[in-house]
Amino acid sequence: MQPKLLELQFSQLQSEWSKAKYNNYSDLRKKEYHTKLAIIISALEKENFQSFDDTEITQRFHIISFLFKSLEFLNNSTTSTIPFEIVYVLSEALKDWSSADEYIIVTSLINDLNGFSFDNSLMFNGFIYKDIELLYGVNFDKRLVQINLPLSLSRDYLANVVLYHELGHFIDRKYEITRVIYIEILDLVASGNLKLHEQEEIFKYFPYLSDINPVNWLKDNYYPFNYFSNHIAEYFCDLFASQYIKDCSNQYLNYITLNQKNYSNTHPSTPNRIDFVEVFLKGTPSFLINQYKEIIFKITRVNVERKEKEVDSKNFESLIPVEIQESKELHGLFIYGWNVWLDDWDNIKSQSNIGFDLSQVKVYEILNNLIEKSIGNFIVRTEWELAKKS
Amino acid sequence: MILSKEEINKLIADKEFVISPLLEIDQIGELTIDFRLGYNFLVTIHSNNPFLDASLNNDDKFPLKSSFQETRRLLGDTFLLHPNQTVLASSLEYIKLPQNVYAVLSMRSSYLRMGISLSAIIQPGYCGCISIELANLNTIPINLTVGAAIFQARLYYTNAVTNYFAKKRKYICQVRPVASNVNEDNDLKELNKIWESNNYK
Repeated sequence: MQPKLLELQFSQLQSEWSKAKYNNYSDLRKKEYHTKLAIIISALEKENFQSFDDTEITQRFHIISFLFKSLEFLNNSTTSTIPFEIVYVLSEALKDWSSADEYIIVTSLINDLNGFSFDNSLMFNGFIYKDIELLYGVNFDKRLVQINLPLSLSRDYLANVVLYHELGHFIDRKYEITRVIYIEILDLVASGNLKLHEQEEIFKYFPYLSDINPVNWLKDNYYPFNYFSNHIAEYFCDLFASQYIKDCSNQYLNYITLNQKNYSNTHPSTPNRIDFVEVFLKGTPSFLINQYKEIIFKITRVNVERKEKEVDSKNFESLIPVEIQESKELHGLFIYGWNVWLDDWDNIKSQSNIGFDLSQVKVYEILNNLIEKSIGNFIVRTEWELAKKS
Repeated sequence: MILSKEEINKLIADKEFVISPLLEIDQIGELTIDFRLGYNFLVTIHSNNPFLDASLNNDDKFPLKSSFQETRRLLGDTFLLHPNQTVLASSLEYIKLPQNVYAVLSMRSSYLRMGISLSAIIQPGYCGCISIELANLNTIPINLTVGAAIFQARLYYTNAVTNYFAKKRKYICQVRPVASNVNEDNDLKELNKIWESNNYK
């Protein structure tokens, strides 16, 4: 790459930075991260790109790309833009699996109605952090967990249950869970020692493994995004999410995939995904789920089990927020919200003596408002009590 | 008849009156309840709309929402209220009033003295955060703290029990300030018909 092209890239970054440098964030850790970006940009400004050799130019290109990516998410994580209620709840879930202080959940609001995804481009790029530390003396002790969600659904707490699944992708990548399950299942299938019902269960969720040729090929060709590893990861993320929100994500999954009956390169069939979660939630004996649970525990020392507390309330039907008592109930709030949505809404009308037809969009607004306020009140009360104790 | 502290506390205990979160019990005074400034705001912005249109008489519609921009703060953050600026905010507390109690709002004395005005009434049975329209009548900006108790309500019994939801409501369970939905008023539709008739439309 010519130095002039690197100068072009850095000019683009400087232009973006001229706006982003005044960002206000919803927590101190993002401010600290932002300050570190400022130090790197300031150091880059002092460098003479014309004097760089090819290696140095490539190195700077990746660093500037890192800065751009960080800003993309930080710009969407200011106090005014970040849906901080949902991020708070996800951060509580993250604490079960990792030191929450180690990671900062950031969001990017994108113009794609189905655009829920986990972006791992910053998280697991160890080389870039080493380069930055060596060149500029900046150490990122906290890393960004990047979650994309649709701009138009950022306040949709029914749809946002999908974000638990996306958080599962982060946990999967952090601990490389899929890789271990991948090897374990293929070894089991190839060994020929499986009992018939165990084999049938594996073939049900991974139909292509009934043929020995793909098994041998997959054993020799592991890579993170082949169809088998993709499917293992998706089942893991569904399992992960269901610990917190039971089968709520199945509802939304069914809606966005139109109950897709065939598997694709990236995802198992929707009926299989729904079934996998139901088997776990019902506690039905399952060889495959036990394999998942054992492997996950060995790697993370965390048990796969229900981690939510169901909300025992009729407050939403009475048009008032729920008084959340502990963080586990935050997850249960989504289950309650979904149950009310799937109900016939007569309870809402009768409990509040509503004399007019409740339109679906009105119920949609009411539920989202009440979920948001229930979470918001919990955050406010927690902060207030902490402040009083200090 | 204005409600006393004992009566307010009894309504809360009986779950007939909901106020959440009630961070400090002493927000309930002898005759008033203090309410805190919430963390969501709508501020007016200069858009392509030439004015805020509270009529249906223009062929070119000027949606009110596009003249407002949402901004959020955290508890303990500040919000700068500029002179002659009207800002839509909401209470930190979510309330549900009994069917026979209405509330009259005013700024707390400390904030009145800074030059902020507020005057509003809340109907019996209302549920949601309280929407407030803050106007700085002073000549210098005022820096407000999110979560501070800035306004108060006096509660009064009505003579009869009413049903807030007997007729269709524009604002139900609002938790963030919402721009005016004045264009949904039935009166405006009727007035627009008269105007059209008078102007051969």
